[in-house]
Amino acid sequence: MSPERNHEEIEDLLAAFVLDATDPEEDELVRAHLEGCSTCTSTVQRLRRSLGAVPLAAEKVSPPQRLRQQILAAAAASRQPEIAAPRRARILRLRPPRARLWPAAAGWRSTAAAAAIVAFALGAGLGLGIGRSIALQSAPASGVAQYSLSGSGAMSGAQGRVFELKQQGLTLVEFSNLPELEAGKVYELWLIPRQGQPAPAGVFKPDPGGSHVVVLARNLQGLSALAVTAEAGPDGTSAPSEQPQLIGKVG
Amino acid sequence: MLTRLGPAASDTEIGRALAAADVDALALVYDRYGALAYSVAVRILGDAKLAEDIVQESFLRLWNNASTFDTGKGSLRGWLLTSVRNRAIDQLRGRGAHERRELDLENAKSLPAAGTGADPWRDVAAGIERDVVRDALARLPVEQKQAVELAFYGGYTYREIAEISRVPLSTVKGRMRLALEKLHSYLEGKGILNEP
Repeated sequence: MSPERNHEEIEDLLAAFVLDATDPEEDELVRAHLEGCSTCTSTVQRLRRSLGAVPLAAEKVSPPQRLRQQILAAAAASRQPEIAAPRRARILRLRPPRARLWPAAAGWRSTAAAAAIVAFALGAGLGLGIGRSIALQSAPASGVAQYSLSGSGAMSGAQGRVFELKQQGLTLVEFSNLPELEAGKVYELWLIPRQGQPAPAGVFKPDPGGSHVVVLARNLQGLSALAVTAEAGPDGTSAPSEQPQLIGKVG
Repeated sequence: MLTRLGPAASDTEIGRALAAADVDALALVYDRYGALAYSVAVRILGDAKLAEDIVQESFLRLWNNASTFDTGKGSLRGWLLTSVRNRAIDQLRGRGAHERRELDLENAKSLPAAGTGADPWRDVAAGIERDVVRDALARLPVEQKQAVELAFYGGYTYREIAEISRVPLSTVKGRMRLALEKLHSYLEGKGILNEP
């Protein structure tokens, strides 16, 4: 498109522009034109008001009930109020755990449900990656308990920060410096009760930097520790195959 | 000290509470507009799980940008629906957010604040509004409605729509313009659109 496109030609594009249906080059031309043309600016505002009503006619579909809780919990954990230009939100999923083999720890059923989703916004201005994005800066301190996991042996240097959001009935575990997995392996998170055997809470693979965040739809009541082992993928195992080398007390 | 928000809280009050990290304010926004946002995402994506992700992203983006939200530039509902639409289209078409214009609050300008939620009167108002908008869309000639919906819900450019519809580019641009102008005229007459 020629930069000399005249007013009439730009005006022809305005509806498509409002509908986000122009090419990027045309988009730029229209934007530049709008800066100096009050007539077209007024037209764009009018057309946008019309377009804004279009989604109101969408057939109503009820969202799953868990969505509200997920959003509120992730919001409580991710608040970065000073960020001016956040990047696109990231969504991480924790693979659902396999069938349980032990009498359920309280909340197991909801843990499975939470294998679900945690989403949190990444702050572009911080540039520190996932870990810093859930700094819990604004979460009410009284409702959040924090614990840590530390690695040894082959997992020396690995860490886990645990945030138990008591009011939301959620727990987030932020892992960092996890060693690269052998081919075919996954990390498996274990819930270690005060009495009884460890229960699998799901498997995951960290990002190339060794980071990952897991969310559990439960608090840590009744547990004495959280631990991580490397197990055969993709589904992990029902009982740890090795002594955990990343572990931390909770509760 | 935050004042507890009531069900009739205005966008300005909610925006202030969001900026102060009041999770209850986000819950109120979700109760009002969550179902509508989800409905739009499902309409675009045709996939409940993806729709869930998109709605969650949009609410978290609102939460993390609350301090910059300006109710003078648009309503919370408009902001959310624009966010959901743009992200759903990006997902649908495999585009990165950087490939299209970023969220523009002007897109949401003058969308009135009625919506869904626990407030029964708000529900009634939203239902009336929905019926009026549906009526407005139903009154459009099929090809005009199709041009708008292919762009809005399908993320197609006018060039692509011309190809799909096998009509000249100018025809598609004209249909889009006529459709939006007619919608404006009808909805304004019904009191659905607020003038700036």
